Amino acid sequence: MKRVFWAVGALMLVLAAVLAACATPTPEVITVVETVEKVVEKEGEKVTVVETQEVVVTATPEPTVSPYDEEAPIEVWVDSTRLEAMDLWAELHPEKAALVNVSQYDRGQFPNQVLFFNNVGEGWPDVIFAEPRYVSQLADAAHNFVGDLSPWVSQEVIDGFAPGALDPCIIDGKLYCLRNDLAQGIIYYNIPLMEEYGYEVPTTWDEYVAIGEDIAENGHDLIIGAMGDVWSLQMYLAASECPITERRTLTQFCVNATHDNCVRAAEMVDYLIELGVLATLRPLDPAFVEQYVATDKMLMLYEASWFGEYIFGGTEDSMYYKSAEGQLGMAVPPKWDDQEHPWSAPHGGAAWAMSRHTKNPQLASELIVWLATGEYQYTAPTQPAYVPAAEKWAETVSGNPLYGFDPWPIYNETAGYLWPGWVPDERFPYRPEVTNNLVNPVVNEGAKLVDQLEPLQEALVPLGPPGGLEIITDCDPLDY
Amino acid sequence: MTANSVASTSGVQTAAGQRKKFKLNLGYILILPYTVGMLLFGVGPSLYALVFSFSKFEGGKPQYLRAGFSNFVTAYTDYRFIPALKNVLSFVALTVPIGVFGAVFLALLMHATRDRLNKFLRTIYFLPGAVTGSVLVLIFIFLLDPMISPFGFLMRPFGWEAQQDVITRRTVVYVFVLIRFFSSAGGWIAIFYGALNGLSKEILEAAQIDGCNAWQLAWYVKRPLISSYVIYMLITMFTQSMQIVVEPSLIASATYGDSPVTPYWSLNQLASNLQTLGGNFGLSATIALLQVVMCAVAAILVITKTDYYKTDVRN
Amino acid sequence: MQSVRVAGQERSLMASIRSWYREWRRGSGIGPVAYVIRVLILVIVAIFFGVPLIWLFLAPTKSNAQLIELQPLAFGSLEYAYGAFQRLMAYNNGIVKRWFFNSVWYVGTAMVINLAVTVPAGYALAIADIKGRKALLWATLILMMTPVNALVLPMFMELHTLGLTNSAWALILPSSFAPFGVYLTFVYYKTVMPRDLIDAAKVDGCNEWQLFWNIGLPLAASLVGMLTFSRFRAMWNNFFMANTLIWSDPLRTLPVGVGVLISGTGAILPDNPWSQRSGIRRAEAALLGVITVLPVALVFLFSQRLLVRSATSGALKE
Repeated sequence: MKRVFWAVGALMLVLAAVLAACATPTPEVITVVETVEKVVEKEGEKVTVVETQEVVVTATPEPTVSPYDEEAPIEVWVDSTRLEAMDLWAELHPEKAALVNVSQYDRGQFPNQVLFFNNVGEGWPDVIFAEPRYVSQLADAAHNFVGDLSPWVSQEVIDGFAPGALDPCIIDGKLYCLRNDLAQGIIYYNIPLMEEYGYEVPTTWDEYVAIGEDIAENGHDLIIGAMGDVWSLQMYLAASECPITERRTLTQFCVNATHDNCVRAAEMVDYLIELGVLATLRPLDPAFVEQYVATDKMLMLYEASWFGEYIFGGTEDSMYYKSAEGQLGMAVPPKWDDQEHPWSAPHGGAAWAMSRHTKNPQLASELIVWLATGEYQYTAPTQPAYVPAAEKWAETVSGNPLYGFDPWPIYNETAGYLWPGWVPDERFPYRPEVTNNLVNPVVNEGAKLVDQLEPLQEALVPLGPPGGLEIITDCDPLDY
Repeated sequence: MTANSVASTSGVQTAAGQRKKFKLNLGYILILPYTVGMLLFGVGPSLYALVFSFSKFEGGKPQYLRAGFSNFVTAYTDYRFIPALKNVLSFVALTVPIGVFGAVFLALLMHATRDRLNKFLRTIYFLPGAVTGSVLVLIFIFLLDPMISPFGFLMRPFGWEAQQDVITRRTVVYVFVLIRFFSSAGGWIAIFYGALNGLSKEILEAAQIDGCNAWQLAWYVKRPLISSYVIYMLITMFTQSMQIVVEPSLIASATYGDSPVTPYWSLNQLASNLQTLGGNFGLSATIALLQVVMCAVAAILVITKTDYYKTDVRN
Repeated sequence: MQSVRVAGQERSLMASIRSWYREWRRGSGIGPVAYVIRVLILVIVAIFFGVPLIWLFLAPTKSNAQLIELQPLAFGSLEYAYGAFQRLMAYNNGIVKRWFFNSVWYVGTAMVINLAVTVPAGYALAIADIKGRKALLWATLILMMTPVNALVLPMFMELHTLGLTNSAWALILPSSFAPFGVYLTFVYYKTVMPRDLIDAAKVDGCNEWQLFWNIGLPLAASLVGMLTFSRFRAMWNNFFMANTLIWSDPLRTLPVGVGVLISGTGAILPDNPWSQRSGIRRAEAALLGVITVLPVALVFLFSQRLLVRSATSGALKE
């Protein structure tokens, strides 16, 4: 038996040596001149424009196959919800439907799967649906998967997206994805309650705090927000431009949890918790629903844009389904004194990306543009990032009797206020550290957020190197 | 002892000759398919992984045997390595004794009398292990939320009102132990029960005639007789607990991605984290190697101490 | 032990209680108090294990709101469960059915090969006089200790070389030769075939082959029971390998498909607005859970019949 083991061992070593010899790739830069067929959105109508243009594909080096093959079939990987979009596409483009093969996948596992494909040199899909936090990981040296879309997408399409919506997709000047939907922060409020107690919707954080103080002083049983998880906390942090996960380049992050901006946000949240007007429960926790929503104690809530349709909702499936008709008001979040307009953090929102290995970038990019901007978005579940599509989407949303007034202007305005300095990235898993160092100590142990910023900073900085990231610490957030 | 029960005593002459003749061939034939499969799908990949641990990875692809020991240095000096090791060891220290004693105790208790209840209970104990993945996440979203849990009445006295009171960074390890027991005990109970059924009735009856009561019978007669299985469980449980990965990711999902469990809570998680982040499979291989070595040392202790491989046929 | 059930005979309640009483008195000689304590402990443990399952089986009858509003173990409505079932079957042109049959055929094939490979191998390790026995046992043990995580890329590259990735065999082959059953088989034969038994058989004129065929295999009933339920569960739920080595939707196994479906619809999480669109909510997810668990439950019940068969005494009395 021993000899067998040695034999196998030797065999493996020989195999390894052979593989090592032939595994070294030979990168080369390709420049291609192509005729590009583009789908462009003009005032909500889809126009197909055929342009002949020089496409310098230096951004797409080996191993993309060249010349490109417009007849090559493409593989599209989406989540279950987006299957619907692909069905609609096939219906509208029957002539190309045969070229597109659709599969569901679990995007959380995908970055790992790509590493396997890279090692055997095949298996990659051509188009994927994923959050920008995966896209940046898929762009790094090890994964090297996503391709630059900028040669394939017209400026007109790019300009149609909400301001800053594409920021998480643009890394080092390359456009790695088109946003599917946005999940910016919005202030939701209870219109009858506001009237009953005579409060005005706050436009600055000082006014917001003042409402909290008034509620505490008069002993009203109301809350003006919640801080029970990272999602709800990061809304307040990003609003104050607190640089905890601010991506500067593909591999550089600014992380400065003890920055003045973070301190002022933390002090405000601490104060509001002390006043008893900020619930220390997750807004999606059944306990929160029972204590504050069902009992009509929630005056305001600062949460993501999809809360309106899906959490307040007004249907049996929505968590706050007891919300009455005409009760829900929406407002632009407050701003700090030194800000021109407010900022918020994303709570969700995904994107479409293309493989750099695709043989048919024409079809792949055309599909991506349609998915992000086309008919599917008009009735999509969440707010489209592409404004002309979002306008159509608003027509369906506005019909919901839940809202006290037309919500579209608020949806539209807040879409441009996602702070580009808050960029979730799979390579920088800040959320468990925020849970452990900010949320749990405050919620379960009665600590102060302000005192926890330093431990948080200490926990965040070492996350960088394993993800291949350089962390700069004594930095001010950029001016966006 | 069992010799007594074997009735026949004839045919002494022929046995010796035939035994020599056939012995050589059959054993090897029986073991051959497994050996081939094991080399192809077990030993081969393992050795390949061993090669990886000494390989450099650039752009996610291996440059074989060009890393020296640098992967070992990188992985073992990662600042998350020691915390992960501590987490895993504390989990092992809790879950292995609880699991082994629990399963042996319940199996013996069940086997103490034979009634129809047993089959039903065994199935109940076993089935939770059949639930995995997202569905287990769904169950635990509800189970660990005092507001909506069937066991809420046990949690509310502690002043726990929401899931985040139950799952904190201090309690997670106990939650993991609970989940592990929930999902794995039943399988072991069934195996022990099967082993107990496999015991020779003559022994048990003889012990009863000798005046053993049920407890003495269980502890002094049955337990030693299934000790081989208990050691098997001990080793398996130890290695599986060293590799804990399902429970932390389960809790991470069940808390809506907002859990106190980092994606590098355990060694296995750290390994996949390192591997997915940089595409360096060498790093995860070095951590795997460490896990194997630790388990092997534990196993060597148990196996040589108990002379486990000694069978009646060969030492 | 005699069976108390007499075929075709009507029994009164008292008679059956009396027979139960006789049964445990004879079976073990434990007193009524000890018996009650025993049952009490077993039942309390059963509640710990059983209540979550009962919850799972009731969940498909309730809407998301009802799951939160109603008592945890309340029953919703059959109509809702039926609707959930229809939504599941309609989902993506009935792909759930396809995943189910994929799983059945992958796991069925792997199970048969695994048993055919494992039982002889474990038997040989315990009974036969072969060289390298200890080395093989150690190798088996070390493979059991190796995290799958480290094996996936080598396995992926190996299967890719053989052209087997993204096919049924990518799952069947590695599962068929998994080391876990071999070790259990070794332990089993080590226990049930003591030296005396082997010697006696040889004295009877059994050669090695007859020993295996006439004594080893008949003794395996209980073992096959143990192997079947433990390996079946492991293979059925094999997620990590199945998810990596197979990536085409129609080739997926049920547990992997369920994982993809649930993560993709966000069905079980409240913070995912999408689930309401796909029609896959918590009730459907729970129903998928029930569908996934049922085959394992069936196999367990079936293998229990083998398990309770008292192996040794039967063989020795032949």
